[in-house]
Amino acid sequence: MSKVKVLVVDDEIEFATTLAERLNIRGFETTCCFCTEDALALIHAREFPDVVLLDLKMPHMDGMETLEEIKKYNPTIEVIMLTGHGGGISLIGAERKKHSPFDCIMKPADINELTSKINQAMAKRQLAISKGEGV
Amino acid sequence: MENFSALYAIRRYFSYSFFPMTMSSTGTGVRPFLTISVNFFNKNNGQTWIFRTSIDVSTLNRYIEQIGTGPLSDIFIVSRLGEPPLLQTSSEQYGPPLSPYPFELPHSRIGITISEERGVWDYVVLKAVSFIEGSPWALVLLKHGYLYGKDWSFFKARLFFIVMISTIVALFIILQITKLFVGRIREADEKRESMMAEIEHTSKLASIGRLAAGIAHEINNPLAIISAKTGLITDLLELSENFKYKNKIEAEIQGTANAVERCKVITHRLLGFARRMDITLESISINSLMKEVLSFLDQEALYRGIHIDLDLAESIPIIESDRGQLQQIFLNLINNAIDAIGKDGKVIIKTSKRDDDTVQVDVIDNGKGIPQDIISHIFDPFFTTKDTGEKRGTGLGLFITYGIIKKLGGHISVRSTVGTGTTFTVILPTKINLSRRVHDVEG
Repeated sequence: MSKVKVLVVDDEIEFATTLAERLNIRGFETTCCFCTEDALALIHAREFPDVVLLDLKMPHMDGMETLEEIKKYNPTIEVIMLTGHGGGISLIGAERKKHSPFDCIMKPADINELTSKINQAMAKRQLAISKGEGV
Repeated sequence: MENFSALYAIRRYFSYSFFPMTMSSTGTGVRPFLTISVNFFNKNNGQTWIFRTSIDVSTLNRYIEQIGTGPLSDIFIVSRLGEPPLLQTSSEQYGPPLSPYPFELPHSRIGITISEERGVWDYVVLKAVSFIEGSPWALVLLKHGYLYGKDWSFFKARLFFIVMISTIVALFIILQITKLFVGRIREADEKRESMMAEIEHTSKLASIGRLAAGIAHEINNPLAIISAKTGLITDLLELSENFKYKNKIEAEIQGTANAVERCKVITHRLLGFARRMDITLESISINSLMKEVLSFLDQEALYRGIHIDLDLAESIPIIESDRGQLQQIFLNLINNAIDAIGKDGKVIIKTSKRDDDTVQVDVIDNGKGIPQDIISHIFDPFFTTKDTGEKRGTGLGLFITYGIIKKLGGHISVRSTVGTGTTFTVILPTKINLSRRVHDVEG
């Protein structure tokens, strides 16, 4: 069984790399990007992760906009929003957007909770792929 | 014939005399009249003429009465011939013509004599008597003094008394009105002051809240890094073989992780407080909500032998509010009550209708109570009495509860007696005035 591919997008380098290591210890295949441009470039290059852990507050591009961009390219990629502040969840409620994230987690996140959500997101993606909604 | 035009001229050349009044019947009853005759001696032919005229007294009366002297005087003509002198015209006081005038006439026949007398009913009367030159008559004018009183001093006394009473009454009324208005002004001032104090307090809390949220936000990222790294270290230690200080390092890392966890609780609560500035309104039955909240409670209450009673009002208005946030605040209050009791006690949750626009919820415990010197601080951020033992308090529960209640347009107050118990009273409006909400940007 292939490993679940996780993309961590966060401008805090230490956080992203440490989190990636912890996920890898737990059997995921994790890549880090420290800005949204890199992340989108990756996705445009058709290197699709299964699940994206996306920080809400990023310079240059808003987390929500990035979410839209990702979903435009591949709607079956599941995105879990990481937020360091409380506004995230209510923003999600307020925005009239076409796509919604799989879930939200507040930083600092409990690793077990995170892995459980990643697995759930993966299951949803696999279901969508089997239905032919994307790749 | 010589000219009669000037009396003086007549006097020089003729003699004239007044004959006293005589009664004469003219066929229509007895009427008094007086006669004036003038002798005219023509020195040219030595003849004497007498010109005689009779004047009806009523005519004379008319002339006298025309001298308007006001309503309370009497004016009449008296003849000095006769004892007593007789009235020649009618007098209000003394009667018709030919009635006796009961007083002596002054001796002085020159000028006007004025005197003061007592008239009928003991009134003071001013009398002026003037003899009409060249006639046996005197003109008498009587003026009654002082319309409003028997006696000037009595009148003065009465006047003084009335003025005094009026002044006192007026002063009294002025005093009362002044007191009333001063009272109103003071009331308005006090009300304004207390409102200002409350606004200040609320806005202080709001800015503390924002500050706290801002700090929490800034701290959260480094905290996430520490948390991730301690987690990673723990992961790596688990994967590695034993080495000299492995156990010690694991223990130390665990200690660090625990500390990070405590920080995380604080920041999450503060950020949660800031986050929930958005309200989702729905119609809520406060009684149902209280039952829901009870279902969330730990089994701990039961375990500790604490009874929770619901005293719910039968008819209570439906309120418009945010369900999640109401659950949060009542959960906080009930948990506080449970912690205050410790073991074996009772918490009463009472709902009631205050009026058509507000409902009231009381959370009553028979726990240890809150001393007077700290009760004013219990809503301050980071204020806690639970700073020992396994369940350390963050000091944020009541701070956040206060903020949420204010945001929902309500009010919270507390009463407590040490050793007896505490009552928290929450008052909520049935409708929230949305324009008054404090908006916090992102959080």
